[in-house]
Amino acid sequence: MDTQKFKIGIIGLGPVGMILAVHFKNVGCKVALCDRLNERIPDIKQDGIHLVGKIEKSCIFEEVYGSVNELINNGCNLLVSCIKTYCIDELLKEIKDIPSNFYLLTAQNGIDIGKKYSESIDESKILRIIVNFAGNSLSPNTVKVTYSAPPNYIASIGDYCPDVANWIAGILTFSDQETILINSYTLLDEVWKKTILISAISPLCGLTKLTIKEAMQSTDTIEVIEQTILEAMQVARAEGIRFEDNFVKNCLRQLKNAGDHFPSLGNDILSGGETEIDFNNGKIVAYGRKHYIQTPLNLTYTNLVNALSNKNLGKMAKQFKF
Amino acid sequence: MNPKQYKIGIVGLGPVGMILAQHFADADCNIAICDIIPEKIELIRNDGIYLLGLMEKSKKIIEVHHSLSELLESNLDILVCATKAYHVDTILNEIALHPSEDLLIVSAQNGIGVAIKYRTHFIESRIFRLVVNFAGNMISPNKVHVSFFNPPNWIASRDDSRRDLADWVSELLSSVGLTTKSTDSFSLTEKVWYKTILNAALSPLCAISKLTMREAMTIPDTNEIVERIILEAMEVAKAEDITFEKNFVKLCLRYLNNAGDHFPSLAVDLLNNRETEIDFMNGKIVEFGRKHYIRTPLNLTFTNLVKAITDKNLRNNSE
Repeated sequence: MDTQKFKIGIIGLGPVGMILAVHFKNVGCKVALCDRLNERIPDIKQDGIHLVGKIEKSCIFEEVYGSVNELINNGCNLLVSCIKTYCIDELLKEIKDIPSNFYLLTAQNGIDIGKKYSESIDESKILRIIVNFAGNSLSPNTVKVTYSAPPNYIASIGDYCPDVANWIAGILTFSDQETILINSYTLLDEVWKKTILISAISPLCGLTKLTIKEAMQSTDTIEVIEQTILEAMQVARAEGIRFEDNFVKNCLRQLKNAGDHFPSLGNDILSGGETEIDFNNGKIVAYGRKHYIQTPLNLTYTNLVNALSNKNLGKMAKQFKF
Repeated sequence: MNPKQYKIGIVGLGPVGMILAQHFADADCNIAICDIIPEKIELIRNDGIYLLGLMEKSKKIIEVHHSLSELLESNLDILVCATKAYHVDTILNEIALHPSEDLLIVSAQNGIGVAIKYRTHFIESRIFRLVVNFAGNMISPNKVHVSFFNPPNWIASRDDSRRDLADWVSELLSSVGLTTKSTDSFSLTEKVWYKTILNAALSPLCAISKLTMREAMTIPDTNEIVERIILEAMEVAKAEDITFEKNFVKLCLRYLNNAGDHFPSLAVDLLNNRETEIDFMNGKIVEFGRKHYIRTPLNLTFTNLVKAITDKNLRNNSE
C-alpha cells in the first residue's frame, strides 16, 4: 500500500484530531497539523502527541501550523476536518479556493455535516468517517482515550470517490483502527445512530452536571435517556434510516460502559460556550418537523442548551431589552 | 363574624406563611406562628414580621413558637400549613404525637395531591385547601417583599361539609385586603391544577437553565418549551375532568410574561442544593398522565432531571 499517496492535513487538534493524526503518522503517512489555538502548537512541536488510556501511542510531528491555508500551501491534499461543528462556517470561509486535486474528510459528529461542507465544496470531494473512539484532552498534547471500539466507517458522501475512501480505510486498518468502506446510504445510517447516542446523553449531562456514569446509575435519568433515543428513532425511521435489532438496548449498554467523565457536548455546555447541539438534537427536531413527528425531549434539550449558551455568550443583551 | 372564634396556628414562615400571619393578625384573630429556624424565630420575636412591596404590614405577633410541637400544645383550632409540600410527612409525624379530635388543617401548599396526604391523620371533613395567588421573596429572615397578588385566593373544605369554616377564613382575609373566596371542593381542585400547571411550566425550566423567569419568557427558544409544557399538562388535566376557560394557554403566557426578573422558589431550592417540590408539580402531571395513558415527555424530562440533580446535590451535601 502506498502510504504516501496523499499528504494529510489534520484541521483541529481536539481528541479526535490528535488520535487520527497519530494513527496516520505511525504507519508512515505524510501528516501536517493545524490548530487555531496557538498555545497547543509549541508543546506538540517540541514533544509530539501522546495517546494514553485505551490506546497508548506517541508520535512526533514536524509540521504544525496555525491555519488551514498553511496546510494547503505545504502540499496537503487530503484535509481531515476535526473541528467543532459550529466552527465549520469559519473554516469554509478560510478555504474557499480549494484546488481541484483536494479531498476533504470530515470526522465530525452530527447530522447533515457533509451537506454543510457541500455548500462550499464540490460534493465529489467530500468524504465522511464515523469514528468509534473518543477521548479527553489531558494537556495540550496528551489525549486520554476513553473509548475505542472499532470498526470505524468511511464513505464518500455521494459515492464519487470510493478509491480515496478505500485508501484511508486501508491505512487506518493497517494502523490498528479497523475502518470499513461502506456506501453513502449505509453511512447515513451510522451517522444517525451515532448522533442519536450523543443526543441522548450529552445535553442531559451538560444540563444536570452528571457524568455519563452518574447519569447511567439513576433510573430517573436512564428513563429520560431511553425516551430520547426512542423519540429520535421515530424521526430517523421516517427518514428511511435502518436500525439493527436491539438498537436501544445496545445504546444503553454502550452508555453504561462509559466512564466517569462528561461527553464533549456536555463539556461545552458546562464551560458556557457554543455547542454542537444544532447538529445533534437540533437536527432531530428539524427532521421531526419535516415529518410532523413531535420531538418534545429533543426540542427541550435543543432550546435549553441554546438559551444557555446565548445567555453565556452575552447574545441576549443585544437581542432583548430588559 | 367573630375573628376570635377559632385560634389559628401557622407552621412554616416563608413568604406565604408570613403574608398569611400578618393578615390574620391584622384581622384581629387569635394567632400563633412557628418555624424551625431558631435565628428566624429570634428575629421575629424581637423585631416582628415586615411585609414590603405590594403589601405593607408589620403587626406585632405575640405568640411565636420555635417548634411545631410547641405550637400544637397551644390549644389550636386550626393549623395552617405553609411549609414546602415535601415537609407534610414531618408535620404529620409531629401531629401524631399530639393527637386531637377536633384540630382542623388548612393546607396553603403548592402542588397536586398535597391536601390528600393529610388524610392519613385527619378525616376529610377536617381538611381544607387554600390556593394562594400571591407570592413574595424573602429579603431577610423576617422581611418579605410581596411581588404579586392576583386576587382572589380560594379556599374549600375537602368534602364540602364545612363550608362555614371556609367562609369564616375567606371573610376574615378579605376584610383586610387579602381577597379570598370560599368555593366548593371540585372548583378548588381545578384552581389547584391551574396553579400547578403555571408552576410546572416555568419553575423546573428556570431551575435547570439558571434563567430568571423574565429571561426564560423573553427568549423564544424557552418560551416555546413553556407553552408545550402547558399544553401537555392540560391534556392530562382534561382527562382528570378539569375544565379550562377559553384562552387558558394565552392567559397563562400573559401571566408568566409579567413574572419578575428573579427565580421561582423551586429554582431557588435546587440552586441551593435543597429538596424541591417537583414531585407535587411536574411529577404529579407525569403520574396522572400514566394513569390515563397520556404521554408527558416534557414533564417527565423536567421531573427526572430535577430529581437527578437533587439526588447528586444531597449526596454531595452528606459527604
